[in-house]
Amino acid sequence: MDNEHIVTAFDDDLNNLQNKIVEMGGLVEKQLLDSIDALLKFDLDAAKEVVLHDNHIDNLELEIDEAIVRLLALRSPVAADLRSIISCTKISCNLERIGDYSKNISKRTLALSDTGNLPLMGSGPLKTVSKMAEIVQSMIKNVLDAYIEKDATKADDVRAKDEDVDHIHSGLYRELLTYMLEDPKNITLCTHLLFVSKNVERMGDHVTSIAEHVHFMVHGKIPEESRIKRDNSSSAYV
Amino acid sequence: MTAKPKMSAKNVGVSYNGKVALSEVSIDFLEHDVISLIGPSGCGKSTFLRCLNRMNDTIDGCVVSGEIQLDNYNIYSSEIDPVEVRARVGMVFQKPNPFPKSIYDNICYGPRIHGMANSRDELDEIVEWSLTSAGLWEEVKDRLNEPGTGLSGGQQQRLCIARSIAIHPEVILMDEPCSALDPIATAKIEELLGQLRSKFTIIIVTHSMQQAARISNRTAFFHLGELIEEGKTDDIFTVPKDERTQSYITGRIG
Repeated sequence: MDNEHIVTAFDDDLNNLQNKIVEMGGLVEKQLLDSIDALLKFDLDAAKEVVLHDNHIDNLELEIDEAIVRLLALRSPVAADLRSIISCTKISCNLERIGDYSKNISKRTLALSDTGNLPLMGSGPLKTVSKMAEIVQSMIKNVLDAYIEKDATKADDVRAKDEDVDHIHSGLYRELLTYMLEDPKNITLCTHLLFVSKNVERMGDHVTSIAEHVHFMVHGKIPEESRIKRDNSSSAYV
Repeated sequence: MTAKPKMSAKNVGVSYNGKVALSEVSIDFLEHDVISLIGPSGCGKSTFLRCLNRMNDTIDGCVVSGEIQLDNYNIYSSEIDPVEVRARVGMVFQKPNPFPKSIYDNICYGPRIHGMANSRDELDEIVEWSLTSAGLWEEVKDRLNEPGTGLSGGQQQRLCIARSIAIHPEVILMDEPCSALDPIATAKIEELLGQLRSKFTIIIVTHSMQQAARISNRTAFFHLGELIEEGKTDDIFTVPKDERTQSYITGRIG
């Protein structure tokens, strides 16, 4: 349905809303990239920047909420318009949470400056976290494309991709546990890294949720087939 | 098990002096349904509504084809008396049109000509029941002998609803009953429809999509003389199947 509304101001409002979601998504993507980069390079200034910038994302969420309330009150949207607007409330909420996780990664990066043994053994798990983050980042990018293009198939592909993230997180969980068993001095560092990994894994879940909202926006229902989950860490005991 | 329709239209077409206004409309109306007919001006929804109690009979050059059944009787069959049809299928119009008579006589008009009451007491009973059902009794019970035309627009419209239900129709047709009313009077009529649905089947033409969404459990969308889509109101307003329905209700075609 690409044709325009009779009331063109309605189209302006909807476009404005979409632009804000895309802007927010772009910021979230960059925050993830920056937070992982700061962790890998152990760049404390960059980590502080990430913590500060989270504000922008929070403010955008508020702006989006306001725009949505206004749209609902003034335009009484129905059908595809209504679905698209309702999806935006949920997508912005998910994006905001992803932003929070990036901020948390950077906070942990700052906390790690006290542990001192980062160069010693961090590199292996860090590479793994970085690989996970790369996947999640591409998921964010693709889900935003799916949102803009109203492409449910693309959204479904993103949803399927989360399985890989879960799998890597599960593996990293076991790896970090063995480091902790080797030497109790590793526990602080490994616990932080475990949380970082869990953060990235949770981001994947939020992207998955966005993908489902895109699917709903297009088809009016959430995807039917259940997703394969491969994060076993919550039920694992070593 | 699917319920038996109260009324059903099969391949109904209407033309005025050879010009087709409506074609191939087939739809079922179940008992106690409130069905909204929506669509842009000139789409045929009012034409279709008027077929349902043979109001189009009075228009020269109007030809109705197909079949409309009321409890399995074809209302266009030559053995059926249109007056009988209109007693069973009542109608409320866009503008309130009370008779230039007292409130009491407005209600009694139908019951009298149909011989539904044998005494003044029985008439009184019908008047009270009809006005109460139309949510007007409390407002007018002390001035039943005053002219109906002296009421406010919203009250007049409820008087017309009371008049149409006085003869106990089974189906009530409404042609934009709220378009001449203010929001408060509209809300009262909408509230009333919610109560009336337990007794009647209500088919309503409305230009207000929000009204259709609020009051009806089924909605039918007409466009250019065709029935495009009919279904649960919830579905029509959230996930319509047809692109044209989508375009109309979201304000893209009119």
